Amino acid sequence: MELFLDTLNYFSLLMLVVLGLVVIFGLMNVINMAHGEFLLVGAYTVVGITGAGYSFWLALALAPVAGAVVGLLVEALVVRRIYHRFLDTILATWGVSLILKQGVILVFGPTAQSVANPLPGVMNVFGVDYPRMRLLIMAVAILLTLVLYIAMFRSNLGLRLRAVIANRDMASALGLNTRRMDMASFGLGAALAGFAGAIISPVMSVDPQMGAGFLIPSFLSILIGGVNSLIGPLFGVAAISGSSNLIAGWLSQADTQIIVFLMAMVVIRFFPEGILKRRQK
Amino acid sequence: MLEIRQLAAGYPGGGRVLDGLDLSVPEGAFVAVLGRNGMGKTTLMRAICGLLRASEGTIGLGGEDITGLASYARAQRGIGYVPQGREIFGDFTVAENLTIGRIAKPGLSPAVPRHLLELFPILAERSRQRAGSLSGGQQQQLAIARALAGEPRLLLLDEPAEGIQPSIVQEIAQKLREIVDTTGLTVLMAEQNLAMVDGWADSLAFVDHGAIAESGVAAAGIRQDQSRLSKYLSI
Repeated sequence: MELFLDTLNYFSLLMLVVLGLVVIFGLMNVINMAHGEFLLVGAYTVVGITGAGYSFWLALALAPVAGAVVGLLVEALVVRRIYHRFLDTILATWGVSLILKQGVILVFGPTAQSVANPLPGVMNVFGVDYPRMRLLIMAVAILLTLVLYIAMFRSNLGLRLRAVIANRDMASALGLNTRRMDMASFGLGAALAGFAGAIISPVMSVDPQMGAGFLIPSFLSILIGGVNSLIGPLFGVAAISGSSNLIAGWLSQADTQIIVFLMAMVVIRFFPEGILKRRQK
Repeated sequence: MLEIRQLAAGYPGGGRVLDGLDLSVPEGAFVAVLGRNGMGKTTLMRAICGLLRASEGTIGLGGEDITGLASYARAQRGIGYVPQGREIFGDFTVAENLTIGRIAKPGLSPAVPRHLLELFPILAERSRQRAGSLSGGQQQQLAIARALAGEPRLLLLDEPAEGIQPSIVQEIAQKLREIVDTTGLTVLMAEQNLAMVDGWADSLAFVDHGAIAESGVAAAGIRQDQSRLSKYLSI
């Protein structure tokens, strides 16, 4: 049971990060190397606000705003000019990630910071005492996934976003302002990453490298599942988090990562558009 | 309705496809542009709807110069586009395809007008079906209905008969004629299939090597005009 909860916990953490990436990578086809640093913005917003004596919950509410502001600035100043230059976006967002990371080091220092747990204690789940904060993270991840699913698949805004994902030119020819959708999407993706960074900050050591640890598994989750629906990334996250936790029971962390990444490469080799990509007529 | 003057356009690295093209389409007219493959029909359609930038010349819609506008802004000013190959959203339902045609335009309600569903009853029957699973003819009807859902003033169609069985081609041509007659919609259609234009379009323009070689030719009886068919379509 504990292994299951630990797996679900990692699944939830990863899913929170992936949600933002689904929007930016899935919708805009931008490999955003700075996504981990948007997470960092959220986490350090919590460090800054709680350090100034305000509550964690206030910080949690402001973190997505901070993420969105940084995301919109990055979009307006950098990404907007190079959307269709694939390699350039990778290089430019990598540069942005270095700037953001060094900015955090300049302001907060290179050492790890800790955030006081706002929800201490444990709760008994099917005979296992599990930290309440981690259970909250799981609940929020599930809730946010549902909200995003409803927003994407049951709302007119979602229909517009999906139309841009599916066929950018056609969406524009129908009258959709894809430029505005780009801004909204990038801001939303960054806000989701900021929120993820904030809510996981009490259960992780907050340091300038924390975003990097999530970046590769997040991209792999999306590549494995495909980006045309939320079910794909959900499946990808389950595959990555499940296999990571299962293998980690037998092997070292480094060996686990090597095996999981190799498995992911094999899957991507045979299903380049994701396992759940439907064959189109 | 549509005034094109000295239009030049092409693709990066591919040179000019359109070169000095002039074309006028009066309001409420159904005009078909005919020409062999590679003469610039699709390029013309893409340039009008803004998916391809004009390197020279002007495009006017209802008296307004739209040459510098992005494609979404042209759509919002009343251009509806049915591309070659249909490009419906295959993973969306039929209903979602029609709804996106509405909500892509500011100010239009998401509800698909009843008359549109009456015009294409098969789409109403299959509204919950995934669009990618429709037959080619049904997909073409969906692509046309999606464009009409946005209530355009000018409808552009790029080879709507391509890959469609002859009986369905006639049905689609008949519906287009009906729409033009009942709503006053202006239609510009690029086509090679004579069954789609003969008896249905008002007039024809022939495109040759990126320019309009002849325009204002009566569509009725074009299948008997061996001289033009041989000259412009190599038939």
